[in-house]
Amino acid sequence: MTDTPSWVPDGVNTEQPSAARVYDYLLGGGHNFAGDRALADNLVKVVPARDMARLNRAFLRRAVVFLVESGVKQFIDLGSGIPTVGNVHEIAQQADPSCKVVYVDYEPVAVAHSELILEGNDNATIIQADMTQPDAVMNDPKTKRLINFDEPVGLLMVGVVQFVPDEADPWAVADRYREVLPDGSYFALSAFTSDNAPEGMKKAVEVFAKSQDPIFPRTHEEIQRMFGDFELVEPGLVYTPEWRPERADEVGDDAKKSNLYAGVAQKR
Amino acid sequence: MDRADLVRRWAGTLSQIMYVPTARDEIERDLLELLDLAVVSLVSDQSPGQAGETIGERLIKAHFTKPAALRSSAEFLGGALPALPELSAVEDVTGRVVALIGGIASGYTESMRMRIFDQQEDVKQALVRAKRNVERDLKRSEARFREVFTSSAIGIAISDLDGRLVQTNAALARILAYRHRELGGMSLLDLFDESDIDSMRRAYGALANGEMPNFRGPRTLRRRDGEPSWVILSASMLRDADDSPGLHVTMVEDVSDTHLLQIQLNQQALHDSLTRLPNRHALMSRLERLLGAPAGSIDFTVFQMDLDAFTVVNDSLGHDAGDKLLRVVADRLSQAFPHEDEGVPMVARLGGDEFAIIMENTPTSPDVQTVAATINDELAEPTYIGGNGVAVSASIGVVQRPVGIDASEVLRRTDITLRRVKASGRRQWALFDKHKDAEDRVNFRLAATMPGAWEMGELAVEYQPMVTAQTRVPIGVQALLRWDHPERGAISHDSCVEVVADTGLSIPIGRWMLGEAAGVARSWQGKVGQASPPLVMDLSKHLASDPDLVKTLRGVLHESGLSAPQVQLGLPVQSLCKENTEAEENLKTLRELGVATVLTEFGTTGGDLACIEDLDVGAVKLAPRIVSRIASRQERGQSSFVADAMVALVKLVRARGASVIVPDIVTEAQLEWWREAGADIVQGPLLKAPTTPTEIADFLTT
Repeated sequence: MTDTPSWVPDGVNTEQPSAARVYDYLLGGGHNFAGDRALADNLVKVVPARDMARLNRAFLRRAVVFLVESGVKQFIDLGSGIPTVGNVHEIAQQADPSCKVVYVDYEPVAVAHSELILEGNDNATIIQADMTQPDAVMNDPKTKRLINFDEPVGLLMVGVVQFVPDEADPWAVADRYREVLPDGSYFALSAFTSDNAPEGMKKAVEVFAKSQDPIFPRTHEEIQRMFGDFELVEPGLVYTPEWRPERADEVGDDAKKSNLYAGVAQKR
Repeated sequence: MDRADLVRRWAGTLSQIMYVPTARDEIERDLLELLDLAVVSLVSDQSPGQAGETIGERLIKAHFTKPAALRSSAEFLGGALPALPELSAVEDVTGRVVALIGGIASGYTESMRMRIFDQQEDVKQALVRAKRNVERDLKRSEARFREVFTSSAIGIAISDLDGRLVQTNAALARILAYRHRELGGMSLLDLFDESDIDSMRRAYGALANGEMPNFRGPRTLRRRDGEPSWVILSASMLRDADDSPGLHVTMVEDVSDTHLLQIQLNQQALHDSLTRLPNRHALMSRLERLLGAPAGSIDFTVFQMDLDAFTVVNDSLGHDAGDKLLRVVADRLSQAFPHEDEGVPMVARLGGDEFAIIMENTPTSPDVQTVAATINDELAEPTYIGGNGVAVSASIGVVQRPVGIDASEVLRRTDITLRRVKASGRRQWALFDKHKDAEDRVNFRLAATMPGAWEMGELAVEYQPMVTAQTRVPIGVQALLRWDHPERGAISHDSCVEVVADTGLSIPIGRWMLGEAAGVARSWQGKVGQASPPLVMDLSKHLASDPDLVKTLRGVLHESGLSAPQVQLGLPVQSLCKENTEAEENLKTLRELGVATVLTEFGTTGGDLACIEDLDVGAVKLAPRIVSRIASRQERGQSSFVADAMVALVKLVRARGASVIVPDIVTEAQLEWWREAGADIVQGPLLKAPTTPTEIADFLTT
């Protein structure tokens, strides 16, 4: 027996936890199910998952604001997940309403959520695609409608690449994206690492092994390699709260809790 | 501490608790408003509870949705507000603050409850939409599949693991010539050729148990009418969600047209369109395959034949009749030597009226003589064409067990042997003979170079006297051909004549000789006077039958100034004594002109005698090969049946009042023998070798 609500339609698997809904729950959202919450609760026992989610989400906001201030007016958000609070288009369009945003996710419920949220917003859209297929993502007609590949693009791969196993070669995926992006574009990346809390992260890997989305935390070097020949902006690849904090004096021990490296780099 | 400090601390606490998508300054501005609201409600006579509810609602609106945010806000405000200097004068400030916080809790909780309802609604809508998206995509892909399935030119069959056809498309029905509904319930294996069923059952089994993911290749399917249909077939397995085998998918691409076209092209390329027999090309490639087989594995004999009187049928009854005859011959040979498209025996048409047969030599296979007899027995049966019964015979050249040569050499050997058979005119078949072959090859090479030699002036006319056998008085001078070959030296008349026959130059060279000799004869007559002997020339078979012979002769007489009685022409007996031949017409006209005529090449067949009677001939000249045959047997002291026959023949000829001329007399003994036999006129190196125009004039005047 399952505790799936009766209104959940057939054909949507709500029993197996999904990373997008776990993230939503950790951020205080309500778009999740018992399985997601159970996994999140287990996760919290081994790593400071709520802090990790909060700090990563805050990095996303700061990074988008930084990019808009640097002149980027169009974004591709890979693995965008469930639109909870502080979505890229909200942040970017608050700063400049003409900003264009393409969300990319392959999970049908996340895509449906995004479609609902984006109804009536001509400058933002969601495509259902696998982020490890760069050409499929960039050649999608909806992508081409919103994104002008002659102008700088903000490519966001925030809190998602840890779901891509080595076999799928995330470095090659990143290479291909970077290759196609026009000069002046930015690549914002954050990803799970075991560098800070190897034991806890090892247990986290076990917890996620039961979900639809197993995780693969990586070292600083492995993550840095994904930037290729792009030039990292200050302060480089650092723990999420250390990346251009709003209140430097408040970072405190947040860095120790974050367990995600973050960085932004530019194509010159 | 003032309100600004308070707000900074409040914001710092909250942002440790949770993320809100707002810049810190903005958060602090928001919280300051809330703090102002709280202070105003506390100092005025408003109900702090109501203001608290508003504050609670706004905290949720600002995304501070975690209960910890409420708790820490309550703790913070409960501790900090009473200490504010603005509130020092407020009565019962603690009670009012508690009321405020109660309001905040109430507003926060209610807003949170509404928010959860909203989120549940969001989730539901998203799920419904996700399902609709999935269904829409499914419908689209089903529609796409159906469109592909129904409109595809490729036949598609979906069958279950028992082989029953679950779904088929119209293209499959069309390819197999079924009505579409008839395929329902049939077994997939029913569609295959019987010989294929077992292997196909195994192949589909291998798909089901995962031994191979798919297979593809050319196959023959069986149509409803039992006819074969050539297809490229590919099959694979549709698996269920749990990866267990579900259905087989089979796709067939109809390549019958291409296949038939290929067969047809192959047929055209390798078969003769008239008789449908394999053609020369096919025979050559079969020969090459046989010759390329491991030594001793296949032992075979090749027969090449040519119809003896085919041109007669073609000329007299027309080409349609000729074609019909060729088809009849092809049918009879095919029946006599049953053959298939592969292997031996093989019966082929090489072109024209030439056919070939390849027979394998086995302990039970008939010998060459039997095969040759079978061929001629088959052909001897008359065929009625346009009311005329036509029977033909064939001459056959045979090469046995060819080893170490290629296909074209085999055919060259059968061909040259066949020519030899035809040239001899005495038998129907012969085996390839290496020595004769060498000789023939020399002659063919000479024939090939003769036209050039003639042009270069290498050909000359020589003169040889004919004398009476008893008194050796010259009674004629024969013009002979001589070829001063730059490498081979002088080539004699007889060899030249043989070569000329192969060149197609028979008539022009004959005419040239006649003109040349006539001029020379005129000059010796000038020297010798009235008693000078006539010019003699033996015409080739071709020249004797030349419709322009008389015209040519008239021209020569006119040019040279010779009179008709001063010319004596020999015509081969083989070209005469047939119904209405051109040569016979020529013979009559020549006689009317006053030209003396002689039957040459006489004595090889019994029919020659009848010819004398029919044509009322004045003289005959024996065939040189009879003369040399008798001479060689006498030299060896052997008695000769031919010699006896000749004695009788000479007697008979002379009894008819005709003279007998004997050529090629080499020895006194020969001369003596022929004189005894009754020969009237003799000729040969013994008496005078062929010589130049000057010498012949000298000879005649001495």
